[in-house]
Amino acid sequence: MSLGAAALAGLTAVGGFGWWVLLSPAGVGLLGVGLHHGSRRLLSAGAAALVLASVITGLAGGGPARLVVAVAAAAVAWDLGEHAIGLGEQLGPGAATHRLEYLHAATSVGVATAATGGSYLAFALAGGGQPVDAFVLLLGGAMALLVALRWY
Amino acid sequence: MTRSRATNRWAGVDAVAWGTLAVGLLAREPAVLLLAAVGVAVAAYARAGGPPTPELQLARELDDVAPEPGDEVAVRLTVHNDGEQILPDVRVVDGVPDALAVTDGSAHLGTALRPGETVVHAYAVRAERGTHAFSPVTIACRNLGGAHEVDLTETVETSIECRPSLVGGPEPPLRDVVALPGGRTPTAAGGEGLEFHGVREHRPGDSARRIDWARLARTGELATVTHREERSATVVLLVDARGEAYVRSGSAPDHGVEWGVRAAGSLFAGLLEGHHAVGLAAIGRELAWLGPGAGEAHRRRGRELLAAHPALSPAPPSTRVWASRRTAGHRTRAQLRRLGASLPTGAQVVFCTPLPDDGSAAIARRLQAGGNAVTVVCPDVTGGRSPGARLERLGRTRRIRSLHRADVPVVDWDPTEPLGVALERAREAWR
Repeated sequence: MSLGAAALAGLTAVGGFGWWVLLSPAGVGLLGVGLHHGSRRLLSAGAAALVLASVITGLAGGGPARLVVAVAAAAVAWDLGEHAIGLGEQLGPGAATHRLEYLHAATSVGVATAATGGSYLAFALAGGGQPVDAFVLLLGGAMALLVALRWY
Repeated sequence: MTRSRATNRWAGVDAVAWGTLAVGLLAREPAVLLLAAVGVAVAAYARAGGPPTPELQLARELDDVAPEPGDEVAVRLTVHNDGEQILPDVRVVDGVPDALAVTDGSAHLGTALRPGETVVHAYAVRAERGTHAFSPVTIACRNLGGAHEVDLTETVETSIECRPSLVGGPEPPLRDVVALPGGRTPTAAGGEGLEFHGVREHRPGDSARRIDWARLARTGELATVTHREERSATVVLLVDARGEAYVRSGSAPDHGVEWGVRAAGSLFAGLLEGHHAVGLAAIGRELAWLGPGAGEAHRRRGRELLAAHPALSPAPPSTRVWASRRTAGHRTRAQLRRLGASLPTGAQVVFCTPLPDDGSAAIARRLQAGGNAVTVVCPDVTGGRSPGARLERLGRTRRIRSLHRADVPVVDWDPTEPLGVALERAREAWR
């Protein structure tokens, strides 16, 4: 639970100030409340709000680097929070889960970092700054592949 | 039994990724497209890997397989990854027997195991009277992204056998009875014995060993010191194991029947050592009966009865919805009739009950009226400051007084002190 909160804190530092300024703190608040009450719905709502805030900030012209970190941190916060809620449901509050939680946190943060770095690299290589058709095609193709994989 | 399921944890990530991509395309905003890329990466992670195939070996170790009731037993559960896969998410719930409470640590574990790695998890449980077998261990394994979960159960045969050891107990203050000579009950009649009783005029034929020399030196009279006659008694220890007796004070771990069993166990051992004929009985869901006897074999039988007889089970009888109090009353009366028929004439009864209701006092009076001298040992399991607890205390005191009026002596025992102390105090009070 504390790990989800830590990701939360990382997020607040980056949540952009677009027009819908309130969306970012609201997202953080929802995440926190969701964690406290063990509600997956609130947790997901919080994460979605944070992603939405980042998108809107992006539309308003915010710096891409900061926004990417914001979305990645939102994903990590959601992942850790949902994992903690699941553990609480299956094992109860007094269980000894340190090893598991640390490994999971490390993995999530690692994957998020790699995703952030990789995305930004791809973006920069594709001539960063202009909406490049190649980049769009790349993304679209990747998504289609993933969707197809769902039915393997 | 293994079961594999999808956790659907990442439901909705695809929608977020598509949505962001669409927004980015429509708005022609590269920053948003970048965010969509992150979304795609997350969606890919959600799909990474299939369900794990766990091969686990479990073992359980107890540090004491035959503890005394109330002891803490340390349990060590060993989980070993036998397979060649890394298991990043292993959740283990140990099958602690229902009757035992976990006192230190938790029986639940979350861990990760590399191939060939072993994890040892330790916790402690509190032993209760009886035989308890551990249930199968429940395990859930997930893959790295958490999208798939495999549930399995493993059986590790372990059991705890908890029998109260009956060694060295106090003797209850037995009432005056005349029975077989040879034992050591102090009676009110003066005669041959060990404990001082009184002094009387010397008669021809009195043993010279018993002359009161102090009196002779002082007054010149010959007098004989008499001692209390010591005789062996027949005693049956009756434990109140009816549903009503399973009361406990607040969150105390032991209830009235548990204290009754401990009292009966102590008295059983003490009386056997005093060379009396002791028997055991219990009324409740069943009638338990061990006729008065003596010797080592008899002690073993008594120990077995107290440890394992279903009438004295640590769990209260299940209250069936349709069982009325009248039915329970019928059963108790039938058991008392059988008990009365089995009791040898002249046998004393020591009734171990917390006096939870008027029925228990009625049982004591009824047995006394049937011709057997009854003593009641009453552990105090009332506690707390709530109005309900105060009411229970008042009721208990009232019943004790009513038994005194009916000439049934009651030993009021506070379980925080040893039974011997309470008995000694009662003995003093009745002298």
